[in-house]
Amino acid sequence: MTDTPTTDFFLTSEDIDAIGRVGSIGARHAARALSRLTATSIRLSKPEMKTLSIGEVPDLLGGMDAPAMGVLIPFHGDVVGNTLLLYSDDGAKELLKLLFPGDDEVTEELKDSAIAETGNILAGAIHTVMSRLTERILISLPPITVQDMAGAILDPLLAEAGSYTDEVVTLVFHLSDEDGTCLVKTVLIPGIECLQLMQEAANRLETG
Amino acid sequence: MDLVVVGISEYKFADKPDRLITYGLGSCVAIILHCRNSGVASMAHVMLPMSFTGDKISTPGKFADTAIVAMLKEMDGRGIGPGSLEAKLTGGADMFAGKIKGMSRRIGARNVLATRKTLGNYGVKILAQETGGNTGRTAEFHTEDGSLIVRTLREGKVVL
Repeated sequence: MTDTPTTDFFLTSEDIDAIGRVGSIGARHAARALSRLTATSIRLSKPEMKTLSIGEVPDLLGGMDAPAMGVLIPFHGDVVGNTLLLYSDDGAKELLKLLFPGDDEVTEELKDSAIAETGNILAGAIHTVMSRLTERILISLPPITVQDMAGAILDPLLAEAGSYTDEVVTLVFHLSDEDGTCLVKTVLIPGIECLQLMQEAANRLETG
Repeated sequence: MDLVVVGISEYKFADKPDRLITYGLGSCVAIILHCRNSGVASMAHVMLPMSFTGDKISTPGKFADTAIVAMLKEMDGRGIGPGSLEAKLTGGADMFAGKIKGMSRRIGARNVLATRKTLGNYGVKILAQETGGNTGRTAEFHTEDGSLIVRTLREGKVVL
């Protein structure tokens, strides 16, 4: 029952910048896939890398008890872990406007499915980049969506980080339409195994 | 009357008539210790079951075992022993209904188990518990009457 770290794990600011480059490659692939899916032009920014104390992470989504939507994409294969994407309540509404421009009558079922698929595409693209660079087999599992308080959705991945350190690495992406009028903030939290793989992938990227 | 906000990995104290509150519990657990005679209460918002470095840890409020020890020590400094305390617990949810992988699997249940075990080791009576499920919770404790109000987004509130 004792939560002992499985390894020493420490990231320098250079490591975090390099992890951001892995995220950028994933974002480029994801933007193309989302544009194809929606038959529109969707842009995805390079990730803004933030290292926050555990208590600060929910503030990215409006606070601990703010309503939010989370999409968990677990993966298995050579490594088992999780990637979590989060939207504030307003962010999830904006995302639907981006995915279904001009359609105000999106059903709850379609809303969940569209947000899950968007998360799946973004996390899946990053998993693919990690897999290719590290030459490890990674299989993304079906996404799981949860609507609840931001702090509650974040808890399991904050606990993973908390067993090593008091800080969490977050990647903040912005999705937008062609003219930038619709802008959606997406917060990506890599689970600890995902973060270790991103670091390994980043090292491979640096060494060519 | 003050409202004392307890953040993640923190524990705080309040005296009658103040209230203690912690927001957005998922797999984390809120542990409340209350002395009815003196009106003193303490609330912790713990993330993990047990510490691997014991009481040398810099943030005792992060772990169930070290948080309880730290709260009991401070209660002792106020002349309150474990036998005079009542505990209430909430949180410990499984937010992704068993589908999360890796080290955070069943973290909510493990947090609850470690909390119950540590309280039992020190002889603190557990008066009420509202834990588990798949929902986020906000917990507010009233030192005046010892009530714990647990609010959720989907299922309303319960009073323990």
